[in-house]
Amino acid sequence: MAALRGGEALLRLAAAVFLLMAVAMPLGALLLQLGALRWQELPAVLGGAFDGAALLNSALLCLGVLAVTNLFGVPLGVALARVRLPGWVAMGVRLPYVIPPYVSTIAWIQLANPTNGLLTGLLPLNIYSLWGMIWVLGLHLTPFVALSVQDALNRVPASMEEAARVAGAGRREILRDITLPMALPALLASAGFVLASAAASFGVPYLLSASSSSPDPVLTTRIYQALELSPATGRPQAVLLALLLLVPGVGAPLLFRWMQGRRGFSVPAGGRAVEPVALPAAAAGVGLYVAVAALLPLIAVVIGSFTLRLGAGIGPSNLGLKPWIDLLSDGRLHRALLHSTILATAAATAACGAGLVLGWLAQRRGTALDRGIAAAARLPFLIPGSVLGLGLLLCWSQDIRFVLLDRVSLILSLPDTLWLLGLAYTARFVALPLDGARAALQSMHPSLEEAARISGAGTGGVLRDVTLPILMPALQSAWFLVFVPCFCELTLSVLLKGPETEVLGTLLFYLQSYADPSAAAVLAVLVVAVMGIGAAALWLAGRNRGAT
Amino acid sequence: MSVVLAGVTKSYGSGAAANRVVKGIDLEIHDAEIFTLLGPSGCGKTTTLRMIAGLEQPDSGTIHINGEPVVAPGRLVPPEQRGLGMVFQSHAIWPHMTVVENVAYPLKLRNDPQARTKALELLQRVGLTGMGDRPAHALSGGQQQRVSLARALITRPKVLLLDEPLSALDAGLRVELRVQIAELARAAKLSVLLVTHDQEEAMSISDRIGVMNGGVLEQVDDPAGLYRRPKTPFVGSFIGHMNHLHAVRRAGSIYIHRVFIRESPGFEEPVRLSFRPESVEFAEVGIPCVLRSRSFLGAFTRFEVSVGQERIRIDSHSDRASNFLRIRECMIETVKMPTAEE
Repeated sequence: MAALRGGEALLRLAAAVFLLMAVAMPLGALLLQLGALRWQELPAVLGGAFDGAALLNSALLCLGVLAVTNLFGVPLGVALARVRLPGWVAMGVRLPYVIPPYVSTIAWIQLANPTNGLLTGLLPLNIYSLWGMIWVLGLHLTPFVALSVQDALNRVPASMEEAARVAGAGRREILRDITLPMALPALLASAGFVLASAAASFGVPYLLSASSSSPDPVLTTRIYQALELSPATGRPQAVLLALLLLVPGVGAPLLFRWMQGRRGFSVPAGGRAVEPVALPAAAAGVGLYVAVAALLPLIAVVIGSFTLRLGAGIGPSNLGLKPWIDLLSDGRLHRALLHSTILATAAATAACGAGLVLGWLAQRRGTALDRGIAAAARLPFLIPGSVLGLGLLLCWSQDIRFVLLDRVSLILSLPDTLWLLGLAYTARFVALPLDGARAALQSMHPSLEEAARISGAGTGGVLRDVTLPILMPALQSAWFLVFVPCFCELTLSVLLKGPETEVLGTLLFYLQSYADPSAAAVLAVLVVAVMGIGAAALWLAGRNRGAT
Repeated sequence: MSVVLAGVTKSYGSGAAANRVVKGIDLEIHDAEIFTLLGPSGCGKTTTLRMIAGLEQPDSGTIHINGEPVVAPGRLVPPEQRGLGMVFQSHAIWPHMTVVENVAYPLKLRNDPQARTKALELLQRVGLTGMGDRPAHALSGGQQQRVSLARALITRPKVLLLDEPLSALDAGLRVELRVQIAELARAAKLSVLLVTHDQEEAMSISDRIGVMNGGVLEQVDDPAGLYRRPKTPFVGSFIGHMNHLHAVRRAGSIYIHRVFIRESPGFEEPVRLSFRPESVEFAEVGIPCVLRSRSFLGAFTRFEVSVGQERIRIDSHSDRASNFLRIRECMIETVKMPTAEE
């Protein structure tokens, strides 16, 4: 038993160190920077930080994206749940959400930029404006709303709607009085997520404003600019902006959770699900969304990647393999590819390990401390990426020296290293395996572990022989769920990368904004291809598991 | 006649893989009658009820409700226009509405300005006084089923459909609620179609019972008739306990182990006797048997005995056993045997 307690103490110590480095110190650094502000400096800092436009634009961006996602997402969700759809259409609805938003941004710039876009004129929209950001982000986040609505409606037992029919309600009344009200909690939850995602998005507004003559600034791009322009005066400004960003970024989900709680009902699960009906018009509508939001941008980047001079049309004289050959032989790509692969692999593995330990402690030991630690570890996922990145930058941008007993000194020198990016990625995404492990542990009856204990296994044996094998599928899924966003991460990387630590996201960002949009399109196709392979691997893993 | 079904069939799937759930049902439910469809799960009873409600479409056959055809060639009345009341096994209480909103909803669809008042009155009658403004999901299972019942009755339908309404509740509540449902139905002169797999529930409140098995209505009778005169072996063994013993017919008489049972004209062949536990008793002479167990159950004593290789049950008011049996009443069926060549 003593050994067991020792082992648990070691686990808790590791968890504490990780939490200190990844959560407590970065967020503490933000607070310290805030506390260091003097009142008399405030007007100057504020004046330099924002002209009101960024704040207003961020608010409009949030509301616009919310409107677009619900306008498209609610009918899509109803169609997914209640209309018989071809399998590829139903699966395709997820695509726009899976494609990294900056890839679709590159695509839409090629499709709809005011001077030489392929669709310019067809689309009454200046892609370089706030409207363009709302359009791209709205299409990107629509699947989240649609799938939330679908999930909520699928869990409504058929008898709920049948009872209304027998009571005298027609199809329209059922949708209005029964079905949609029961999807309301799901809509509120998704609205909180959509608002937070829109406020926190960096890649879309930055890429769209980088090419614009009079860009519409938002809070995240202002934070980046403040730090780029002058590290000294920029930091207090960035911290103030980050504080503003927390209002929609964390406040909105909390507010909508509270509203959802006040609605105060959960749809009882169980019973037969509602049979979908055949409605070709609705199926065509879903197909149109998939075509516009996923297929069109994908086709655009693929064409763009073979275009020699973007904007000069897509005639045979302007198509060729040169962009691919140039990029594939470019040393910067090799370095970025190597860095991103190492970082994503390491971060996914570290996040799974940390998530397993934290989740097991919270779920099986369940002391207030363990549950508090698990909750704190989710923070970096909940706050906007720019805020986390800023905190990590403030905290780790200089060497940190620990002196023990006047003799031993440890120097932690992270700035401009892959270590810092790895720490950032792990901190950002540890919530995914943590949640996965907790959910799997929750659905795993404790008697499974108790039976192993009665059979004679110690704590280590139980974990090794019972818990871990049962959690393995959940952890495998979580590993891919962390690997994929890390592989093409942009928001954190752009703030934390050094001259020698270029990654794929930042390279794409650089190519699109400053160098060669055709090369950016090639890289975008590569990123999508890797993500597609990752998704296929995840799907295969799930299928093999289903088969055994 | 409140509800009349003629030649109703229903299959799921098509072609060779079709699963024929209801294989041609003819059924009449009289006015102000409590009629029960009883059978094991998967026998087609719920499908039959859902076809009456309009929630499933029959493949063939006709259905009339209150004299009006609702399913007939070229005619299919949707459920919302059939004017029925229905209680679901899962209660189907809408969680986003309060109790009174749930009950008043059918009247609101009919633009009744007094919907709320009427709903509150009805809630009183089902024993939910003062609970109208509670959120529906905060109620217990039994209370939810009362709300469901009130919602089904609010439009004063002539026909009430009950789809296993009590099976999600615990035993004591089941008895209490089924008595209450029967009282409400008789007071309002409702025609009730109850679907259940619980024979005690069916026997206790029904005027007539239809026993279904494998998509076929095997027998329709009042409860006593079903128990005393089962027409098929399935009905006999589904309603109450049925003993079976193998016997032979020789020269117009039935014998078990060479003991004469009774006269029965017919072919000389093996037969099977079916009889209730209370239709057999211990005697001084008769069929030899060996006592296996004895349980005192209060009003009677239950014996398990073996006769040769077979086991039977005896319910007796006396707790004394002996080594011989006498069968007072039994049914005789022929047993299919291998043909003479074999």
